[in-house]
Amino acid sequence: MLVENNKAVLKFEGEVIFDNSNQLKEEAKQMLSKNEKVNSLVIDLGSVPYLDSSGVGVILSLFKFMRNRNGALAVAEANEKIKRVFDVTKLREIIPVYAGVEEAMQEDQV
Amino acid sequence: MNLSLMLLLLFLMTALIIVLAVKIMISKKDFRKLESRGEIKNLKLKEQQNKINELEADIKSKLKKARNIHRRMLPDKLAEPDDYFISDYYQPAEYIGGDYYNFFKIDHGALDSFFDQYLLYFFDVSGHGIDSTLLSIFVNDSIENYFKLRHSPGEKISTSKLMNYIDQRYQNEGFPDDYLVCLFIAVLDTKKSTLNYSSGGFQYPIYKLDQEDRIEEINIGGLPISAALGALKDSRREQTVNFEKNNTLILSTDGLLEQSNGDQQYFQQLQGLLKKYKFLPAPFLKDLIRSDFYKFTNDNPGKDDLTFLLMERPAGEIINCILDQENINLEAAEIKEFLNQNLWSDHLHFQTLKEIITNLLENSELELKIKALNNQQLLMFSLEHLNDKNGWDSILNSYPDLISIAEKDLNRSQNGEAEILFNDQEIYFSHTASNSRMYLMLVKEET
Repeated sequence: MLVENNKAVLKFEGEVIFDNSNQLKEEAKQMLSKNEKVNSLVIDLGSVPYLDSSGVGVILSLFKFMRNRNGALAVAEANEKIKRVFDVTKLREIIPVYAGVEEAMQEDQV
Repeated sequence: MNLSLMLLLLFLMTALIIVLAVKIMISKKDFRKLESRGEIKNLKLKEQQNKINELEADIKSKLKKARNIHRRMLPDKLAEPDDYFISDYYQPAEYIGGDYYNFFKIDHGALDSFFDQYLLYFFDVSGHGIDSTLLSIFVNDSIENYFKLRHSPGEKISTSKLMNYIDQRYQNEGFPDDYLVCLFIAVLDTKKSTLNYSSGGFQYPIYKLDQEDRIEEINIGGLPISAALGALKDSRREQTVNFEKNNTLILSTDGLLEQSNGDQQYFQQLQGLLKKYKFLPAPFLKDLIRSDFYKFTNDNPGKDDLTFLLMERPAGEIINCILDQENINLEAAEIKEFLNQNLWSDHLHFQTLKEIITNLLENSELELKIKALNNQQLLMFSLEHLNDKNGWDSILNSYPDLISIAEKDLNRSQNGEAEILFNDQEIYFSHTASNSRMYLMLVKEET
């Protein structure tokens, strides 16, 4: 996880699926707990080819984690398949989806 | 060399031998010590490995039990309105099942004769291990509770309200933030020919084959039920689909449609199959999708549950008969008349089919529901035991030439489409997973 001031970028690598989702969620929360000042989190999905419903569960769980600390969460670099998931399930209305990490970091609400 | 020098040399050599002997003895002791330490370590490692194996076996056994509980929760038999055919397929993932579905007639009590409504729902829960079975139990329990506590006979059923009720209950239970429920709930009203539904969470659409031979994709996405999102009261509105004659709905959780063979996902192939074989009645189309899917994945079912349902309102003439002790003669006469209409008398195998049905009608001990469909392309009989749990193996044993699509090895065209030729040289059969319903079909010429 890269931390700059109160903003952080968390890069996920590989598929986020049932097999690894629980571990990924716990590791992410541990890192965030060590960085209490982080109130804007961008999840970089550039190296994630696919996420299943357990993967969506991880993102939702981190969304709530950030909300509980009055922070915000966004995702960036998602491929077309993942963007489609965010569109169809209307998660995009709750979690902003940005084309690039830089763009996401520049936004105020993230 | 003088004696004193020799004695000194002898003394030194003896001393050297003694020192070496002592060293060897100490080394041997150390070696033994190390050896025993190594043995202890090996023993400890073995113990730990045994413990890991025991834990693994315990987890597998618990997951297996959870899967069995989940399987037992699934309905043995789905309701089937008179003018419809309902078919289902469910294959759980290796150890745990998170999918569930049901289709039942809604009880309107004393007002029942004014209504003919059915509740259809299916859901996919994402949780870890045994929790997903508990989550399935929770959703089913919520639906059951809604009908017990919130719904009065004759009252309009709002799928949106039912969804909100489940969501609200879910929020009160304190499920973990990363769990979610993707849910589709619909009310089929056969008198109005409508299907009202609300849904949330699914990534893939359902498909409707209509009378104009079109395939319509119906989005059933929207936000899932999740503790991370909290209760979402107004987000899952009720939608309506008209359900006319010659319409079929293909409903599925993500396990079927998202499965990839490395080149593409199955949903990309399914549409081609539906276009090509839309004439097939729901039970046979179900078998064909199943065969096509396993061919597509090279017999790899994937890691997720596979669940899909087909709901068909066919075109053509349909007769429905329930043969029990009270009306066996009357109903049997209706079926015999149907068989004697000679519409299919030229078909190569019509006499065999007629013989199967007539033999059944003559067995007065059986209580049966028989449904027959006759249209321009095919003749199909649906046979259902009402008082016998032995299934339909006796027919299969007596007529070994009957053909099952589910067992056929499909060929593929160059475009990757399934190629199966239906012809008048065969009698095709299908049956439900519990084998309580059997379907027999004749098709005209080559289709």
